[in-house]
Amino acid sequence: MLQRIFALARKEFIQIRRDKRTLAMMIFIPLLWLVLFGYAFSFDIDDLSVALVDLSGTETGAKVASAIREYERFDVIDLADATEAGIDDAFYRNQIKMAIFLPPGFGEAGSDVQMQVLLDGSDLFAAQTGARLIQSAMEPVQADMRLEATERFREELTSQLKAQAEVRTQALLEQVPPQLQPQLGQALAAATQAPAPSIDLGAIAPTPTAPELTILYNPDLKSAPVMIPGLLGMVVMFMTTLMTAMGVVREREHGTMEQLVVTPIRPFELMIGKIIPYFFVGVLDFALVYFAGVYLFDLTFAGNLPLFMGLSLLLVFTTLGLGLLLSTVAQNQQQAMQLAMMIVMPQVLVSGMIFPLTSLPKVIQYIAYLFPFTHYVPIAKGMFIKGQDLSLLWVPATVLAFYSVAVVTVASLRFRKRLG
Amino acid sequence: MSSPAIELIGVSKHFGAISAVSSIDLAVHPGELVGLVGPDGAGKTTLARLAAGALAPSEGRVEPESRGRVGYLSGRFSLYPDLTVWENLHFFAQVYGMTRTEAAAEGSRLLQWVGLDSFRDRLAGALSGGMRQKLALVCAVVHHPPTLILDEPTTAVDPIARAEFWRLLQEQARHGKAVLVTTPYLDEASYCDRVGLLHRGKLLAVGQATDLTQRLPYQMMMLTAQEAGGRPRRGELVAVAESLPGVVWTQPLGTGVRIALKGDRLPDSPAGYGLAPVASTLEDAYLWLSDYAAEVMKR
Repeated sequence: MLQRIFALARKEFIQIRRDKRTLAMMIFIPLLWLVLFGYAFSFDIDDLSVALVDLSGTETGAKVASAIREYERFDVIDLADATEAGIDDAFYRNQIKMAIFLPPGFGEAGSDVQMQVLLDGSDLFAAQTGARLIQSAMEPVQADMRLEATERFREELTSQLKAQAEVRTQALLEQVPPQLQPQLGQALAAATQAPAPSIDLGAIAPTPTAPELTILYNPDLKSAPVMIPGLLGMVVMFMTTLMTAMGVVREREHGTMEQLVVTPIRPFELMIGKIIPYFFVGVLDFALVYFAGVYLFDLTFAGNLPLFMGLSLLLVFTTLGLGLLLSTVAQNQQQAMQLAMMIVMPQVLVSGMIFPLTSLPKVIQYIAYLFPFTHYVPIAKGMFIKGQDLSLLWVPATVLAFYSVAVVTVASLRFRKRLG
Repeated sequence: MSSPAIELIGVSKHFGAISAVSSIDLAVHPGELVGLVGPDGAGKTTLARLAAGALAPSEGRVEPESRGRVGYLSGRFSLYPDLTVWENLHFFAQVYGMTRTEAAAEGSRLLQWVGLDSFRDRLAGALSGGMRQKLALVCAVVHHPPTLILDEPTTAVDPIARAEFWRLLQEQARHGKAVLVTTPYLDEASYCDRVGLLHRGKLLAVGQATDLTQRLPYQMMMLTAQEAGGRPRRGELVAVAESLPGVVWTQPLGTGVRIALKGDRLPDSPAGYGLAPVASTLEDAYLWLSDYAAEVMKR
């Protein structure tokens, strides 16, 4: 039995090695996806084009404008038509993703005119980034403005206290007989010359409500650390499903399956012999994406690596089984490829790898939980980024284990029946 | 006679409502080369697959159980085109349980036998049609099966390679193997010890080609135009042939028309035409047995 399995696996390895296109697909697709998901599909916008229109004419307005200009992640554009209409036109022509408008009167004492921030909702990620970054951009100027307001408050308070003291002095002087007035006047003047009691304005000023933001695990909010763990599974899933299906279907297309059926090879041996090479393909691609990801994106694996590899094997078994299952349905390699894409892509989209699962409609969430990959993503992300262990991840791990057993069983039954 | 190496007993195969072959009884003995002849759709491939164990019969049985005991060469080229000649041979030898040493020794011997020894490192996909079939044959016999089943092995193979291939099959039979070959070419029946005529899933007759030919109850004649009268058109010649008394079927052939005539008394030659007896062939016997000729005449 072992000899037959070994002969089949060896033959499959030779075929993989000779098929340059498959070999290239095995190596370049994972690397391409890694680069795309790590760099190109970044959801952080580095240079956000921002139109700045300052019509305030105030010192505060100038300070805000200067802070916006100096903020390194904004690419500030001066519009030829620096008006509200000009801003609308720039949005319409995709020249800007964000606009900051300081209307006349903004920053004037007693004025309630507010600055306006406009975002392009047609570009989801740019709008979200803009809304987040405006807070950081305004931070230095807000500190200045707070200090300035406190100073103004202090001056105003001092001058009002002085004026009230004068009024009260006059009132007191008028209440005493005229002959005592010079004497009292001198005493009161001396008293007002004495240093005024110091008032700690800081103590009575309103407590700042802006929270201090600390981002854990991924402080720069980069896409790569969040995407690459899921990508590991995506690559393995795609390659093993597709290549197993194509490997079996190719056998049928070439007519060699019929030749194998009359040999002493049993369906079980045929299945194992066909799967072994693609298992190694999965392992190779996993290692490729893992090391390339860690090296290129300077990532650190936070959890227990052997455990992660063990849990990833559950996904590999599941997807090898899926490939085998596909091979019992597909008539030719083209169909196998189309079916593999139909099975893999929806799993990726709804798995929570790219978009948060909770942002999906409830119905889609329920469907998503039917897919094995949805249970792999929390394991990959949790272990890779946060270093979570089985005490937290036992539920997805158990579901994945169930899938690996169930899919392989169904696939082997179907495979046997098809051969029979 | 020795007991059959392979025997099909009342074998039928249905694909849904379609009956591919029905109630086939056929035995092939050791040392015997049996040909199954029939046109496309006659059920040759289904029968070969049933005999090889690649298909399970809907009714009847194949004895003994074929799996692993037969060498099988399916209708189309069914080796790995991206493996070399040697790798293909080695793979099948190992699948059949041969050790590396056995596979190497037997592989070399077989490649020499079919003249492929100098091509052992060539990819199978890069071989010519005849060479491919030779490679398929050695892959099928590498494990010394007692029975060899080949489905249309000479289709799309040039005439010289065909003759060479039949010689190899006859050698296999001479060495004691039971060989069952399907072919659409009636002329290849002459290579076989016995021939089975297959038509629409039914085995019309089995026997030696000469016996089957002699069973024909008609006299075969050839009608030609006499030179003096000029050469008539083929349609005219056929019309004359069909007007002869006792004609069963006519078949234009070369410059004349072959005619099957029934009855003891042969007609005289029509004026301006020559009518001469010719030897009957297996094709005539097939046309008679299959009623195909009657159908053609009706059309």
